Amino acid sequence: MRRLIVLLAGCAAVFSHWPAVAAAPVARSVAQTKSKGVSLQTWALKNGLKVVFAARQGAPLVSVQIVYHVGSRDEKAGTRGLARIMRELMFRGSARVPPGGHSRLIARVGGRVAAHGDEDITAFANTVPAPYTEMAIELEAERMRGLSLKEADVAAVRQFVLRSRQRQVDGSALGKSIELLRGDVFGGHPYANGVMGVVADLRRISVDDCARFHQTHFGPNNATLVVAGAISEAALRPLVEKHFGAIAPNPALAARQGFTPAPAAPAKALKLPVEKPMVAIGVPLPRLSPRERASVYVLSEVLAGGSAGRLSRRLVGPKSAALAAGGAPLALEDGGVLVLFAVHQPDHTSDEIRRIMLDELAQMRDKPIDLEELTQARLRAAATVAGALSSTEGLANALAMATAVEGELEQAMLRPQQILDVSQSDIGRLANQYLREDMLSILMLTPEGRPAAEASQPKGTP
Amino acid sequence: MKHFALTITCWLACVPAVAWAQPKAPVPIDVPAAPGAAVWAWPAEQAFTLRNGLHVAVITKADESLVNVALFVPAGKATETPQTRGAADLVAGWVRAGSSRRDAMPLELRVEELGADVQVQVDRLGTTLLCKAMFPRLQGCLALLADLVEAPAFKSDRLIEVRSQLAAQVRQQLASDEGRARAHFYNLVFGDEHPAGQAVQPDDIGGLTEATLRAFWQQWYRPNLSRLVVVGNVSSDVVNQAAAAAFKGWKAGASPRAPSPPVPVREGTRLLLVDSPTAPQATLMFGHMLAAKDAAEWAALESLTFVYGGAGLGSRLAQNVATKGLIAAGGAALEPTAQGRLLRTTLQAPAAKTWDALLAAASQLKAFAEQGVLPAELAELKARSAAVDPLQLETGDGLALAVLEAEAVKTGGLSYFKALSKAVEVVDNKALQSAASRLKPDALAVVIVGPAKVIAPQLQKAKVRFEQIAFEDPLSVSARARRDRLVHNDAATSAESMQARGLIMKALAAAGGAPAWRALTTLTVKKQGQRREGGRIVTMTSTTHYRRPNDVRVEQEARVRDKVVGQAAFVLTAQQVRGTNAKGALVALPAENVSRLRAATFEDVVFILLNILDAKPPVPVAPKQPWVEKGVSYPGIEVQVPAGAWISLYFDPNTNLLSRVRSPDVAGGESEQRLLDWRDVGGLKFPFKQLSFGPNTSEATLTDVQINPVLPPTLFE
Repeated sequence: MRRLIVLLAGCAAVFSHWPAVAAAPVARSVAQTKSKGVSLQTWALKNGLKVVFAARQGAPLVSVQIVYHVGSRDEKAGTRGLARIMRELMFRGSARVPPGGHSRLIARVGGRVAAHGDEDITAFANTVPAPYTEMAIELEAERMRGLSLKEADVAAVRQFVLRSRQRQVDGSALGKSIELLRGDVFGGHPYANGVMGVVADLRRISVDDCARFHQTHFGPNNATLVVAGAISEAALRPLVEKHFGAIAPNPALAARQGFTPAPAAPAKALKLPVEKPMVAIGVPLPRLSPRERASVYVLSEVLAGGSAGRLSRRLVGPKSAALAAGGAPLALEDGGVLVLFAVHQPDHTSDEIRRIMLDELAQMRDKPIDLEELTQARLRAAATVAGALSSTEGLANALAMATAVEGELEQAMLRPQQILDVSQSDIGRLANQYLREDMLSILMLTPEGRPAAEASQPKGTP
Repeated sequence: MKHFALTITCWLACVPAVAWAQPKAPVPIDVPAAPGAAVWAWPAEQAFTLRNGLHVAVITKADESLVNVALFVPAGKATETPQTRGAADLVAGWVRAGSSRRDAMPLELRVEELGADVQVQVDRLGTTLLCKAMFPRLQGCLALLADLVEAPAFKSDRLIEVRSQLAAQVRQQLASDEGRARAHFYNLVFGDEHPAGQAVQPDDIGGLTEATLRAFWQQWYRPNLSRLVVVGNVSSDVVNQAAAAAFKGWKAGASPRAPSPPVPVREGTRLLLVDSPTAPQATLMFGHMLAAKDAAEWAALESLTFVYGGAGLGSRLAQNVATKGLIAAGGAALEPTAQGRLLRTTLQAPAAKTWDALLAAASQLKAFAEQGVLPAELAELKARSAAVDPLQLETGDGLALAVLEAEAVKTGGLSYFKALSKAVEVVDNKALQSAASRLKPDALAVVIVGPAKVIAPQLQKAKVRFEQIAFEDPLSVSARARRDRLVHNDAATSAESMQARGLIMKALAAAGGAPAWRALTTLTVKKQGQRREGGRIVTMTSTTHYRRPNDVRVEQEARVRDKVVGQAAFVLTAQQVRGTNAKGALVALPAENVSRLRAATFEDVVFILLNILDAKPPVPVAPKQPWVEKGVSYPGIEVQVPAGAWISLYFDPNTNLLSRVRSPDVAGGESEQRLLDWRDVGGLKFPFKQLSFGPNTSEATLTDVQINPVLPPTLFE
């Protein structure tokens, strides 16, 4: 059960980030000193690479992160999964770095590397002791400029991604159900395609496909470099220019397709190899303003924030209907989905659980939230966001996310306060706008092998 | 000639041209040789003491949105005595389970309401409670921690859960090669008399009474012995007011002294080989206590440890030992202790290269005294701020915990890290070489856990003195000596044996009396139960026929969802042991199975007491620490069964009947059988309900017991 919660929470962590870097070069250099002791600067190179810099004194650490504005939504039919494959291939070396050498060099100096990607972005993070900043920048520039793409590497990564897909989606009831829910929520939009691709496509993706994808999307004019930590702007600028300045831009890319939520299909009842029956509800969300985004975090916390969330309090307990209940928002560049779920006892029907969950959503719509409950939810949500800002790596990550998702850098630093500022009326408005039953996608999963009738029988009936 | 001249001209002219045309070989990216030194910007710190003696440090970090409140109480493993071993962990778990003001469930809700993350951790030095939340919850976090330390609920039912979780955790740790190595290593360094030398064991946890735990809490959970650190964008004044209000009810107490016997000083290297026959590799743990004359020398020793094994892939262990294929992983650290610091190296090595790996690692230590460090290593340790881990200290909670640890060993809190980072900035090779004289590569305490049949010959060939023990042997020298004494003294007539045998006699008397059991000629017992295996439930049925004194026939069947998934039978007599093969036919069993079956038959709960009493030659038996549960103390004995393993038996103090049997399992852990629902059948008592806990949990019920049935002799053929 814990795995389920972690996985859903993981979805939020993975999907709620970065993205969209504005196509036009940033002409001005913005210098602002924010209250949290962080000074923010942005500029752009001639080749279109956007640079975000946050000076923060304290520990002698620097986080160098690069976000490419490419994700699974940019994959063409027949190459679904290509972005996931490229994320792995970026560690397979270049003329100046042997395969795996990037990670080894960072580890060698006591740093750490991370990579993540979703529908909108592909990002790489290197956090190193400050004196090794140049090495981290040089390594990122190297794989932007001269990635080696060999058939053997593509074949190995292909197998790796296929295995991951099998583990996380095809072999996982939860993964499969999230994929189905995504399909229902996003309909014909490319967001409907998961980041794990399609098996048939993954099997046939070639070196040429990868080379074209890298050439098209992994250039300076489609990327933002974020550097945070104990380094000065004066020291950083020449390093960025030295290593990225000479990289030629790629051809400009077409604009992406936006997403508008549409009325949902009827609720689906499916049989999957789950251990316990589960009800999952997807609440589609359009592209949100920063303030709405903060309100969604709080709303999600009120409904699904651990044992204090309404779903958990209503459904989980010593003699209650569910073993676990929760949820998390998936906030993407052009929209998203709030996923709510309840894994319930077999002696309760999925219909019964669904009704209870819908009743909770109705109460959110119909009754103003109590101020004390709102305060607690705001503090919980803000603590999660603020905790990430404590580390240099977390700060850089948040800056990259804010630049890409909201197109406004300052949002990274303002988010905890925005969450604390969410009002009762914000929550009421949001609930009435998005928690409408006609907009919800609902899945009811029953363990395979259990008679279908049993799943739909009210509790206590034969 | 002209042609020749042209050729020469071309040769002269063309060579540079060709060279120019060749693409330049790309220069690989590498770690810079002179990266520059790390420079810290430390936050401000202010300290004060509350009226009740609680020392408070406030570290103001302007870029921190959360408040991190960490409270240290000196209730650590170092404060335990032999009578209270395990108390620090148990009390911490019990305290975390709820306060008398808020019971466990509301406590969890309170934590969620605060939007807080609350953690409790115990180490040798003490217990640390951490609460982190958004700034407006500073008061809430302080109040929550005050509640926990000042007014724990100490409910008996929660203690049962905490005890069982902790016992399982300890069993799991001691069943792993690294956990076993650690326990033996500390014993080798600190000795039996020192609190740090004796690892906590499940028996310790089982033996502590509620009264002992309350007394331990009363003694050590005192404000005048404790320290509070708050890290956040908060001023000292605000914390002062809030902390004074939160902790005002926490009363100061006496200042007890933690037992602090000196760490034994021993010459030469001592090596203990712990046989882990199926281990895929060897786990090596070695080191020694370190002393230094001043802070600058400590900084040099921290720097040397960093170069040696603290720099991950950049360390000498990685660069000079792992690259030769001698180790798969390894690292070293200086651990703070109340008596100084302990240099500890941990390596994973291919078993066949154990001795070479040890030699190669120790030679890295020796080389420091002779050559110091290389310029590139010196540059790297400065660039990475050796031993002042930026990744830990940059976050509010990491800083709070590190400062508390530094304060606990009286090295000065945040000022310790400030001084250390400054000292590392200016340390030079001369200072490092001089500090290297403190290293003792020829006087190491070494523990190796791995397959002895592979490792012992390497040690013998190198003519190294070592002690070899079995994996399940006791963890201290004195406990092993006691076991030896039990084995070598007269197993039937020694005082300890007589005392333990007294308990067995009482238990047999309660179950019908030894004469009645000895008079039994035949017995048939039928049993049915369920066992959880992985995710499935297996229904087991068995019929056991006994023909005293030596013959047994067992027939078993396993079903999953009414489908038979396995059937087995075996016949064990003095002359033969036969079991069913894959085709269901009874055939002679291999020697390994025979010894396992004979051991299992000896330990069969129906006859185990009689078997112990009547064993020829007598088996070693001795009393052991009682097991305490729900306030009831169950007297225990330990017995070495003929197969060599030691098992523990506990008796019900009210009925005198055998209550539980604990024995080692094949995975290196322990399994436990609980015997319940004793019923009379023909004047003899049998446990009709049997619960087993271990790798597989099972529950069984006796469905039929026949005293002296007529059994056809063919059953045992």
